[in-house]
Amino acid sequence: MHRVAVQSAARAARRALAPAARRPATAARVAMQQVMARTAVVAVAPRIAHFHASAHAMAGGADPTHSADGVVPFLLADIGEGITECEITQWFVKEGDEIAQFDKICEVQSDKAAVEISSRFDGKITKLHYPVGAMAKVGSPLVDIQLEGHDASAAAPAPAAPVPATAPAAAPAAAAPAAAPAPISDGPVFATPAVRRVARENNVDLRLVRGTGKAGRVLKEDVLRFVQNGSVAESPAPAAAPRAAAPAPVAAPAAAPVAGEVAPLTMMQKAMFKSMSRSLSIPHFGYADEIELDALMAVRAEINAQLQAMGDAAPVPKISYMPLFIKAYSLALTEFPLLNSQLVVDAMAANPETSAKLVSRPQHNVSIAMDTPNGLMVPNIKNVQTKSVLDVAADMARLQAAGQKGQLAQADLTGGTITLSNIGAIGGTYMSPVVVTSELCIAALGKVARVPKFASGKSNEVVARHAMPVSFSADHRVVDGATVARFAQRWKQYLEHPMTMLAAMK
Amino acid sequence: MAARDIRCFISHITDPFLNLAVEEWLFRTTPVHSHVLLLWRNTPTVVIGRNQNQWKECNVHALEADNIPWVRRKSGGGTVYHDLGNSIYSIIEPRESFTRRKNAELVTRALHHLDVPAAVNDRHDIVVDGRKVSGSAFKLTSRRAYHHGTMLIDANLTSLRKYLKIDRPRLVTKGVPSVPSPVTNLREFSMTVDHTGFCEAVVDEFRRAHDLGYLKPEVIDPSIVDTEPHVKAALEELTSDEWRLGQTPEFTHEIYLDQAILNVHCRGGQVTAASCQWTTLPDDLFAAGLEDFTQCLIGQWYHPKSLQGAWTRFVTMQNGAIQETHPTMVELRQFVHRLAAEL
Repeated sequence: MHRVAVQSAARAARRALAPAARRPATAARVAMQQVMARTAVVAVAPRIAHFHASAHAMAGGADPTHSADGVVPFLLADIGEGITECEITQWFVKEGDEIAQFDKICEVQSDKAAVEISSRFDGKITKLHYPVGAMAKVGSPLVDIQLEGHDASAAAPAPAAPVPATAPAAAPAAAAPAAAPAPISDGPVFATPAVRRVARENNVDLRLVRGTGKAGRVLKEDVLRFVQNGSVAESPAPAAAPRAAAPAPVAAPAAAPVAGEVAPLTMMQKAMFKSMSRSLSIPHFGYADEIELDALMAVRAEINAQLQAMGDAAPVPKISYMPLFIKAYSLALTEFPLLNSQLVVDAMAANPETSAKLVSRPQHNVSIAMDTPNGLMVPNIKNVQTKSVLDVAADMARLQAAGQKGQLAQADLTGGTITLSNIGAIGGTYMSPVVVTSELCIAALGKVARVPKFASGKSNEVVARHAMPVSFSADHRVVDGATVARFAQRWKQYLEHPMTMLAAMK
Repeated sequence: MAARDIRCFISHITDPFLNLAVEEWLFRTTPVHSHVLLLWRNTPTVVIGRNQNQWKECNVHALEADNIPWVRRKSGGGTVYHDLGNSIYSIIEPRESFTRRKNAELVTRALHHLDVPAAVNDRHDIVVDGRKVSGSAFKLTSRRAYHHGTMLIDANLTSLRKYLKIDRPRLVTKGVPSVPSPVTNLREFSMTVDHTGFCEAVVDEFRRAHDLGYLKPEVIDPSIVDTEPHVKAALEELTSDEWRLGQTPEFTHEIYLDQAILNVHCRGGQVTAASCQWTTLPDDLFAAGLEDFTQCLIGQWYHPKSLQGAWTRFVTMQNGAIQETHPTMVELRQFVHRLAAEL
């Protein structure tokens, strides 16, 4: 979309009355969530990562009363002081986690005491009974634990994604290799709770570790060696690990565009869509010409020489071409007040033309796109018709300074009556600028270029000139082409023969 | 009981995070049957309870302006202000021997030796002449427990009131609200009491409670962070966003701004939902932009520092269709600046 169009459309949108209260469209929300999801993964570091080490062994452990499938409810014990309920402040485990006796399960809080609850069993958490922030009653179950030795690993759901979500900063060496390594074996892993704990603390998936103990039992040293080496391949396994079966493709960088990806428009893009569509209900009349700037360059040099001579007394140290363009634009506009008017149309009316009104505007508030270190800004200069070139330059300097500090006032950004865009600062020759519904005319300046031209008169002599292409658009419903052409020619005359501006100055 | 099992430490550290890390280290690593006393104090800081909402409990903006930290401790209870005029005792012991009242009474006896007529009230706070001089909080695990408490000796009560005063009726939070009490300094009752004298008196009472004729305090200095990995790890946790912000109880804040009321819901310290109600008729593009922006807040820490990141994502999501220099974007940017002051 054309830059000029974008800027102008916003002003149109600002003036349009909002319909009833807006609610974000579902589509936009989905897009937002996609963005969110990426950040959330980074921001939230699970305190304890999720592992799928199969639970087995440890015969002869605690044998509390429990159901046939080995699941025991773990109750919130009386914490004393006559307290009957506590708020769950933190879970240290989640469903599916392996835990060993004395491992922390959660923390609860009464008014002044924070109390950590530890497991009395070895096993696997199958259910958390409360979310964080909920009130748990003393004597009611906090979690369900599947006791060790009762978990039929064959019946357990197949582990889908063995790569744990790791904390961003503290990712240990073993965490998340570029491609997910294959497990050493698909069968159960034999290890004591103490070893499982070491594995958990180091974010190691036990299925990836080759056990060197009796019957392939994973020892603490095996885990530590795994952590040190950082991968299964470097562990001293005599038989080659069946690694080839595994590798998942490395995810593409998040920022790279994906072919065929469908992204709904943001709310803001939708609003732009609407206002641009409104603008395009305007039949545009386009007109373009080239303006030679050599004479104006001489004038500017003289003005700047004078400003320099004034030293500190000068209102501005020097001027660019823009104040001259803007003042000349306003002088030309004086002869064509129609172009500075606003067309008010009731789009809903059966015959819009009967209700349409032209509102004339005596102020020439010229919107300009200014280059600042931060990019282009689009404030407007008020009442150019009453200002001198130096006044306009001073206004621009003020807006420029405010723009650099991000302190442009609301008033500076609203109330424009006609636009002059220096899109040529970026590059380009001819444009198709878009007229916004609150204005009738816009001009866009192309890049100034030094070009060969025939000298005036009948001579065939070729001379170098500085030429600037200019493109106009106007609302053809109320402005005829000749008006735009005359306006453009008047402006061109002022710029190519700056002395003639004297005659028009008040 | 062997002398090794009764120990007493005096911290020469004044950094609140490091002192709490030392306390955590002693709590987690001393033998399960041992009794440990730790005495310490901090440079100005606000310490909130484990399950408290800093946005509701203390004036985070005033703290930030004065470069004073706020700390989320591991124990329960309410918010307290610390400075060098406030001493802190921590008594770590086996879970079986722990009671709330016992240690408060021990400290009260120490005050009696300093000629301060102190008593324990039913909230286990220590009061003198009906006004609170010490608040306490507790932390329990399956085998260990600690009781720690403040002691206002000659703390700056003006600062205390300044930083703990906060009026945010539109922020509704879960968690534990502080119970404000009238407070006073021990200085009102004794011209001679100071940190050293208080520490000596508490050490003496602790020694007597364990029938020891002599107990030598061991000094802890800041180099502990380099020699004890557990201290370093605890320090890292206490200073992390995941702990300080991430453990904030669930809350909702209605933020009143010029054109709109922003309704922000947070869980785990992060924004989980945000919506906007208009108090004036907004223009289309601004309203749409603000809706996009509020969606960018989701998943971010509820903290002024998150706004820059949210803004960057907001600009990025427009895919270059609308740039930061656009007048409406400039307006939105100013709106976000005002929002930062209200968080």
